[in-house]
Amino acid sequence: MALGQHDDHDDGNCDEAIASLYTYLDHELSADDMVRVRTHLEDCSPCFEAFDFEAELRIVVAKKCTESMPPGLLDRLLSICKGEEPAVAEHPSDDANAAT
Amino acid sequence: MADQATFADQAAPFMGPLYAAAMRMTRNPADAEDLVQETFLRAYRGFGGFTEGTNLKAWLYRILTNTFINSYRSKQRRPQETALDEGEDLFLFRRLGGLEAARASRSAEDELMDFFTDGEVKAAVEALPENFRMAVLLADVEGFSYKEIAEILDIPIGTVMSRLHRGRKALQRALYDYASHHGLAPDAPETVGAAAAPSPSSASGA
Repeated sequence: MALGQHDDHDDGNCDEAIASLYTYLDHELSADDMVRVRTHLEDCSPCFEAFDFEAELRIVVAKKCTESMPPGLLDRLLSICKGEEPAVAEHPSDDANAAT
Repeated sequence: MADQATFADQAAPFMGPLYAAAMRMTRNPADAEDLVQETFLRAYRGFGGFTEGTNLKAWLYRILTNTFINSYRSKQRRPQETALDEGEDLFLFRRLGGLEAARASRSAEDELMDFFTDGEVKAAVEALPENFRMAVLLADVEGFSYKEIAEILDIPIGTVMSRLHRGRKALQRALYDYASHHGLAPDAPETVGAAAAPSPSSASGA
């Protein structure tokens, strides 16, 4: 079903909802606007699917942008945070004989 | 005045996330380590100036981004802010959303999680021009509010919103390229609404 084309809905409502999509997902809409968008989503399944997709995409991006800390870094950071003078961090890439 | 002796305990939960953000900013593990170490050094030294009970996470990220901008950013004197096209709304949904719905047997979120590898998502984020990348990282990975992002990056809230809008659209275009390589993308976008979709934007300006 195409977005914005419904027999019983004003296309303007879909356009308005989509225009507010990011602000809605960012929880930055006013309470009134939030209600307006939510009401539209309850009535409009194509828009609901679009919003749902965007919300999931956000979760996917956040999850996939995590990193495990390289060995030693956590200890160095904890030293720094305790006011201990950190040893100069040696990067494996600096060492010609570094493994991997 | 915040007590330096408590800094390690308070800052510890943010070490992993700050390192991850540093990786996306510097795109290089050695620089990311240096950046995050320098960040914590500055934070420790400046902790006396931090007001206890206020937003420590935002305070730390501000130090991270300032350190990045001052020390690690592109060596150009005035890095150019590549203008990104306005971009089409719902770019990825219009191309992949239907596929997702068709695979009814698994949860939708699993599907989208499987569409891209970790490496592809990271590369897509890293391909964003720096100003847009930082806004997207702060909002979408770290969950900061517009106001917090404005304070961290020292820019107006309107600029935050604009960078997020454009940055997210550019991100979707980059992700779509990866999906296409996996053969997941149909040739043409799903039928869109009454307003015709604008012609596909040129490649993101990274």
